[in-house]
Amino acid sequence: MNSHASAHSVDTLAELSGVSSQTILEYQQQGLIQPDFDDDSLRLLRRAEFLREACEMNVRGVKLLSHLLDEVERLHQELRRRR
Amino acid sequence: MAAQFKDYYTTLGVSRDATPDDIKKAFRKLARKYHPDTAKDKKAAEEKFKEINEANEVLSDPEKRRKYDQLGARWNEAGGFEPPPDWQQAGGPGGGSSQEFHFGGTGFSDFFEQFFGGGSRYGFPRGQGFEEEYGGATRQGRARRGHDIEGDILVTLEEAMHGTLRPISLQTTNRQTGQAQTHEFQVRIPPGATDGRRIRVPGQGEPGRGGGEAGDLYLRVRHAAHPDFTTREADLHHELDVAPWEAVLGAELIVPTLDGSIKLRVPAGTADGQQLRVRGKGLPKGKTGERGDFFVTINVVLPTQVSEAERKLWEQLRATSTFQPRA
Repeated sequence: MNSHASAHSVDTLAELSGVSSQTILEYQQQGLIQPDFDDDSLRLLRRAEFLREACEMNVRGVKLLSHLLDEVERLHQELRRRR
Repeated sequence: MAAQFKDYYTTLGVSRDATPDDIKKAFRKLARKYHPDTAKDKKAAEEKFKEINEANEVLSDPEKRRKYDQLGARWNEAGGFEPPPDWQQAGGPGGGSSQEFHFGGTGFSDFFEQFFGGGSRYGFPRGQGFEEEYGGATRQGRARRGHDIEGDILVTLEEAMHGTLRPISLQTTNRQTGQAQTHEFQVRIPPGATDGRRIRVPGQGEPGRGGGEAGDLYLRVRHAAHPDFTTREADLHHELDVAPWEAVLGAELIVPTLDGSIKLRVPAGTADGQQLRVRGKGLPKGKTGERGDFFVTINVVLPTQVSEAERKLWEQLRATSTFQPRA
């Protein structure tokens, strides 16, 4: 059975993602994840970490690419809705 | 081995050179006929409804239709269907058949999952370096979390409204041993699951390596196209055809919603394209009991054929009316 989309505490999110609480709060301040810390935050957090570590991006780069990826997804969704 | 070919043109009853408008009309007609809410044999209708939705998903998308037509050119060759040799290159990301996992129970056929499914392996497992991921030196013996896996799940608006439990199977192939493993589990689609929302299923992603934990599975909700409604977040949208006199004089009309029909008051002087809002008749929003709104877009439809008596009344209106649309 899947987990509920309920909010996690910052500590739980840190445990699930392997990212420190301090980094999570920094990502939140940068607007990379929303403060409700739900399952989608975990996905966005892993994406941000992937971009930062594997793609060697700084936080500004992560922010820019995350915004572009979200925008592409939003436009795909809008196109699908209009068809 | 390739999945059995699906003839989406036959499913929708349109020719291979059908226009987007032909496809839209054919889909709406069939979706209305086989909608589980209205059909007598609900189980058979549900299957048919999903088939129609899948065909529409591919044929209404120019890019997917182009790829499908490439596949379709070889579908009835002797010896069974096989994709063209250059299919993977032509298909681009997500369109190839080399994925190392396979979904079942998502509402899409094996054929769709293999060639058009949105499934992908993504994410950055903790403790894994870039070189390792892209074919560089592998650090043996280190525990590594498996990748997250993402796939689409087709959800009808009725399921999105009330929530449901879905049996899902996910077959993953161990990239080192080549062995396939199938996991079966239930996924709860919560009431109010909006289009595009991802449902996390912990530990059902790619298996970990060296004793590492498995990744998570994210199922991205795709609302099945509905003949009467579209959604935007938790709001429900409906287009309502009205006669010119209903728009000018106002009317009380019965309109469908996802939980029964309601009486809608169309105010006098309603313009074509105007939206009317009924609060709280959309999809549920989380667990608060709050619901999105129901938006009705008014389409003023003009009669294309009129009787002699009607013509006289229109002529009388022309002679009497002070309305000047180009003033």
